[in-house]
Amino acid sequence: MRLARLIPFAMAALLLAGAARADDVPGVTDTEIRIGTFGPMAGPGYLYGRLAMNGVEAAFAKANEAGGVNGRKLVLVREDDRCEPAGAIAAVRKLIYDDKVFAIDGGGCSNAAVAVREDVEKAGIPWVVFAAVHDGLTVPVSPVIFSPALTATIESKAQVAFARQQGAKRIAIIAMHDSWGRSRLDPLMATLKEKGITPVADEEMAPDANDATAQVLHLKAANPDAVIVVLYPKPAAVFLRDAAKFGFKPLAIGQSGIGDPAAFEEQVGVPGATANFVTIAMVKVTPDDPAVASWRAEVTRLYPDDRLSVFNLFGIGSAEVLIEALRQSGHDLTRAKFIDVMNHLTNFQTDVYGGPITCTPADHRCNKNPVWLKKDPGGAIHVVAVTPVD
Amino acid sequence: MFAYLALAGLTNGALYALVGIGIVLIYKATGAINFAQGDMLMVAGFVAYTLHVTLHLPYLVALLGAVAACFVLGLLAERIAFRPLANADIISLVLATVGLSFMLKGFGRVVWGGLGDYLSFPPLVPNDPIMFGDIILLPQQLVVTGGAVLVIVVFALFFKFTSLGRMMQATADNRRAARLVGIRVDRVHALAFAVGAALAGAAAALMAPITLLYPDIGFPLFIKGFAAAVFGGLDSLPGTLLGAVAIGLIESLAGGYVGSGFVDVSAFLVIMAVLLIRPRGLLGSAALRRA
Amino acid sequence: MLDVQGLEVSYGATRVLEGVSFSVLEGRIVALLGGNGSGKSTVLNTLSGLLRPQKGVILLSGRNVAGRPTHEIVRGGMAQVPQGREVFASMTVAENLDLGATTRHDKAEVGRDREDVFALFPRLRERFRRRAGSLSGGEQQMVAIGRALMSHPRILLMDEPSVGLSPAVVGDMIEAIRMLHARGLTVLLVEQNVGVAAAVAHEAKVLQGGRIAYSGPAAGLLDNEEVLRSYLG
Ligand SMILES: Nc1ncnc2c1ncn2[C@@H]1O[C@H](COP(=O)(O)OP(=O)(O)OP(=O)(O)O)[C@@H](O)[C@H]1O
Ligand SMILES: [Mg+2]
Repeated sequence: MRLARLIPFAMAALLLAGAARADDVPGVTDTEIRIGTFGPMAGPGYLYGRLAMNGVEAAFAKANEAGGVNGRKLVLVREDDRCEPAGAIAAVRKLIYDDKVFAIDGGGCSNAAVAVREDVEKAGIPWVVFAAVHDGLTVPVSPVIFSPALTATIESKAQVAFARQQGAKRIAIIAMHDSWGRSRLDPLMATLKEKGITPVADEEMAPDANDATAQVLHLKAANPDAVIVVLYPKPAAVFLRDAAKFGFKPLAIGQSGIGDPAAFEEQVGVPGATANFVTIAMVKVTPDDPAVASWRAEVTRLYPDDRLSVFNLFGIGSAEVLIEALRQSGHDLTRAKFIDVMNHLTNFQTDVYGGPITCTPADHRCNKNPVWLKKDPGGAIHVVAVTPVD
Repeated sequence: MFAYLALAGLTNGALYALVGIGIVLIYKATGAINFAQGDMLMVAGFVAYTLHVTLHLPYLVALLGAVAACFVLGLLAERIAFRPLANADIISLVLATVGLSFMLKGFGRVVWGGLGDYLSFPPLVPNDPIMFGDIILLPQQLVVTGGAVLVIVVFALFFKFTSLGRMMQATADNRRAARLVGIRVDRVHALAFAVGAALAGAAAALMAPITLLYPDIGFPLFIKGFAAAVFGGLDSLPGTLLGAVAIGLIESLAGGYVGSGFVDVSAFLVIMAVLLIRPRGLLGSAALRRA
Repeated sequence: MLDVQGLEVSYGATRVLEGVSFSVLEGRIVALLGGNGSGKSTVLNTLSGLLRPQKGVILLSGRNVAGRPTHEIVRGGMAQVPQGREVFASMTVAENLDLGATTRHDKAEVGRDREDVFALFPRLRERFRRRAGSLSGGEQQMVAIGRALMSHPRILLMDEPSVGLSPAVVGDMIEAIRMLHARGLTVLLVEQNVGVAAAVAHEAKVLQGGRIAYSGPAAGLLDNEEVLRSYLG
């Protein structure tokens, strides 16, 4: 009698198990797990695409050498999004429907990345963001998107907090007003307003500008204690170079768009111009840090022409998170199981991020520890502070 | 403030002039707009970088190397993107040079793209400002502006006083008549591409310390140079010079006095106004057509 | 001097010359006549190497130059004064003349030849530094002729030099052609104006239907009712 009552349940369980086996999990076989990635493979944004992908590849290679994840090898499938929304949509659809990958570890350019949110959610495919910082990826929270990368709001809050910690009263802004700049400028303005701060100057600069004389003269006249720099590295370099010419050297507060202070100092090219420049890194280590020696070796083994860059580290960090969640999901891997693990990932220490990674079902901004980097002219890069946000 | 803005504007104007004059030269001699002019400049910039920064050769060698490399590049460009299409319609010609632009950009990304997202070219002179009464003069700007002016003067002399220059002018003036007097027009076309590209080479070596170098630098520079050329009537060298300086100055002054958001649009607003009033540009000779 | 045999020329699919044959003897002035669009300029441009014939032979002093590049033909002694003058409008008269000497190796002689041109057209000496585009039609025609002479041709091809000129200037032009002939130049003259042709040429050829339809002395042309009516309208 009791046995008879159990029969339907048993049958259902068998059916389900059978179904699970028959209805294969996309991208997962007995021997491998295919993971997709997308971002710009060429062009000025390739740092956030190709280089981050190379980092993911390095992390996969290391995991595979150690026997893979629960016995399966990781395989990375790359698609180029050309840093454009349309390109990203095409790339992600290809990953989901043609390449049939299990999950995505990618997203280099903010505006391209945010454009694919709907497609990703519709397909129910988990996505670990490796570099894009757009708030729209994580706010409102998406059931499938997790970001161990920083987000624009977190960075903006950190920029304002850092300026105040340094005693700055008069805060000025220089920003690009293209879509990238806007995605950071809007949360920055909101944060300033929240803190009751009115910027003493608000200058605009084009990404391909060769001259910042007008901006420097305006800013200098406003006499700020700190200038928040919402620019790509190239216009930022032009700005600091021209500022130095006019003897204007305020505290300049960058963001993760200018991720490598050593390269930046070299690119600015004017001795001392970067003396008061600090920037946010997603990662707490610099490429020449002994702590990442094994990663350095791995990247140069895979890409003999490259030296380890901070953008490789973005990929490495996100891949460490992805691999950990895959590992915790166990051998019977499904997307639902993986998403559940991600939702409860707590205090996971990576080799690269500024603090432990913690995701909750209500908040998928899993990294709240912007790292402040500074390079003393001619000296080494060092971590000035970590500004936990929220 | 005016003095600084004007100086910055003049410097940029001189650079735009170098780009614009290369475009006008090729247009005049061949009737084609070289949409790859900016990308030739990019390649030249990286050649100069490789010679000067990587191989530690003197700056002058790097400049000449960039000019020579571009000269050859111009000859190649004429061979692959112009000569096979010399009698085709203007759309094919445009597409050919646009295609070339993409090819060069791809080449630049593959060869130099891996070095970082952009490179800085060391300044040619120490960075200490020179005080001139109340005005701070920046040596780098002076060197670049002076260099650009020198290149333009040498170029004008070449055009006016060498027989080669006069053959180019004649071909630009009347292609049929040029053939009839026995000028080898196909060679002049090749030479126009080569000299136009060599100008881009000189421009690149001069501007690299100011603009920094990255594989996608070509298009924004092409647009400014092209705007200057259109402003001047597309076939007038003095008009282009005037247009380039005007664009540089307007950008800088608008940025300073109106607001930094106006830097990019101001010059184009003025150009559109000029073209509305004078559709042939400021000094253009005739309605635009294929020569 | 010039011997043309079986010349066939097409523009794309349209054949304009169907086998043109004629010869020009050394020291003669030969007029090539024909209605509008009969292919006269096409003949001259093919002789000058601007057009490539599908078939045919062009013997210039015994050497076949059919399909050879223009600079070679100019150097071989055949120069053209094109229809519509085609001066280098933005350049000075002096520069126009100098460009005429492009193919020459003996650059030292160029100055003397320029003097010869001024002797022929004294007006050009006064206009020496003027832009060619700013000159009158007659003066531009002089520049075009002078420019062609600067290449030291032995045979000169002239395409409708009298078009658009006042009768007085046409008279000057005829005078100039006679003087050139007296100096030993051979001339192939394309004309619409039968009066001019009859006045200056020794022989006339009439082009019609892509062939030479009439060939004979030029002097009787004006009286030859049949030729005038059937070929020249
Ligand atoms: N480039 C061209 N492409 C196509 N057809 C052409 C071209 N040039 C001339 N033709 C045609 O070839 C024919 C002969 O032209 P051509 O100019 O030789 O005549 P012509 O006798 O010199 O006329 P005209 O007295 O008007 O100068 C004409 O029907 C003309 O329309
Ligand atoms: Mg004709």
